[in-house]
Amino acid sequence: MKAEPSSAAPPPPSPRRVIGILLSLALIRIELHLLGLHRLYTRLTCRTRALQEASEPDSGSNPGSGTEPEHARAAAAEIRRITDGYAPRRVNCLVEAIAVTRSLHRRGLAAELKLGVRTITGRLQSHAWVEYAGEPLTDEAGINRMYTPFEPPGTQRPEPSGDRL
Amino acid sequence: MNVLLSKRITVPEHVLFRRIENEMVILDLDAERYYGLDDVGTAMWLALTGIGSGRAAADRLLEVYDVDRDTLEADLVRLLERLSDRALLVLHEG
Repeated sequence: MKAEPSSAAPPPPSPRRVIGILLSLALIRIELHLLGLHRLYTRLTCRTRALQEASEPDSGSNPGSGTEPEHARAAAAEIRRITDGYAPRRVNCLVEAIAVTRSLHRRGLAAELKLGVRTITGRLQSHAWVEYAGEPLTDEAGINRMYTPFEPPGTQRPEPSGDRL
Repeated sequence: MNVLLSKRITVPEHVLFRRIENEMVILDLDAERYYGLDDVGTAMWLALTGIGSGRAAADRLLEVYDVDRDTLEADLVRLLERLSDRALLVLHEG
C-alpha cells in the first residue's frame, strides 16, 4: 500500500518570507545590543496590553476566539521552521520569541513574550517563549509549568510579607 | 538606627522578580543579569518590597526570626546597600 502524502505538512516558506524573517532576526540582535532588553521588553509588553485592551469584549472582539489561535500557532510555527531550517547560526530563544511576538503583533494578535526561570539541581536556567490566549506557541504546552514566568513591569506586585516569612 | 532603614523602598521598572520555592530570582533587564537570594534574603526582600520601609521590614522580621534587633538591622542594611548599589531597589527620602 502506498503511503498517502501528509496533508498536514505545511508548504515551504517563500524565499521572500525566509529573507524577511532572517533580516528581522538580525535586526532584533542589533536592537538588543543597542537598545537593551529592558526597552524591547517594555515596548513589546505595552503593545501586548494595548492589543489585549482593544480585543476586550466591549470592543466587539473576543481575544483568543475563532480562528485567531490557529493563525497565531501557524505564524509561530512558520517562524520556527525558518529559524530551524534556514538561519545560518543558532537562534536563541529570546531572539526567536521576540520575532514571533512582533510578527503576531503586526497581525493584531496580542501575543505575550514570556521570560521565565527554573532551577535544576541548584542551577538557574532561563528561557523565553511566546503565549497567545494563555497557550504557549513556541514551545510545548507545559513550558509555563516547567519555567516560572516573570510578570511584566507594572503588573508584578510585591508578595505580602505575612505568612511566608 | 541606620539612615537607610528610614528610607522608602521601591522596585524599579527594570527589575522583575519571582520566587521559586524558597529562593527569590531577580532579573535586571538593564544589565541582563539574574540574581538569586537564599531563603533569608528572600524573606528580607519580601519584607522590604512588601512593606516599602526598612524599619517596618525590620519590625516584621523580628516577629518571625529569633534574632536581636542590632544583628537583624545590620544584615538588612547590608542587603539594602548591595541591592541599591546594583539598582535592584530604589531608596527614596522619607
